[in-house]
Amino acid sequence: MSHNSLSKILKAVTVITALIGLAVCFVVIPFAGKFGYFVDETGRNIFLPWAVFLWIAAVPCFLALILCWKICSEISMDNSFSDGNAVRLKYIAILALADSIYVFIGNLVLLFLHMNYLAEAVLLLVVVFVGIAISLIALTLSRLVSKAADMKKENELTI
Amino acid sequence: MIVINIDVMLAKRKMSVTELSERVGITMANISILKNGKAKAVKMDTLDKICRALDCQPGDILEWRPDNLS
Repeated sequence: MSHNSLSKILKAVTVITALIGLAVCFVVIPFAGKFGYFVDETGRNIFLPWAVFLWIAAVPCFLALILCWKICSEISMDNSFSDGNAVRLKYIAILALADSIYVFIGNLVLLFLHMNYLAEAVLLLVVVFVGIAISLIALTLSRLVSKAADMKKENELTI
Repeated sequence: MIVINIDVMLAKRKMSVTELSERVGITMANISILKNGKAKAVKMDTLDKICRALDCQPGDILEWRPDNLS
């Protein structure tokens, strides 16, 4: 598969993921608030804090997708192993870790304020685990890409 | 640092840089990197082709200079 084809596929997946994220934030969550989950008085009271909590949690994800788009652009220019991509992967790792910490703390706060149910609290712990795993993988990839970029620069200056 | 002096040999052999790049099979950009001392490494194969094209010894084109005089 050529780097152009790979870049186009990755960009398409990035766009689809972003659209799904936007749909969840601005369609699914409001729908759940109006018609679905929060039907009783208690539910309606906790809907807004939950919605705000989830919307804020989505921001680092969209920022990571923007960085992913830029990485795909570099791939299309046959510049996969670059210092720029290494830095972007590092930022993705930081965003994933920050989001995991935010979700973890938010989860505890909502639990202590009796605005959370045990099942949701456990589910959010899984989300925290996934976020930390993504952070570690992105950080490792960042290091590998940085080393590969150094080797590429040295190779380009080998006549 | 190691400096590659090809200008003198090019003048002796009455050869242009373009002709050298064609004979050696490397681009003008790479020749420029060699001449400017920015090359990190030179493959033995490349050195062999340069010496063959210029009909010279490696010592004729390679020179060591202390870094503060480069």
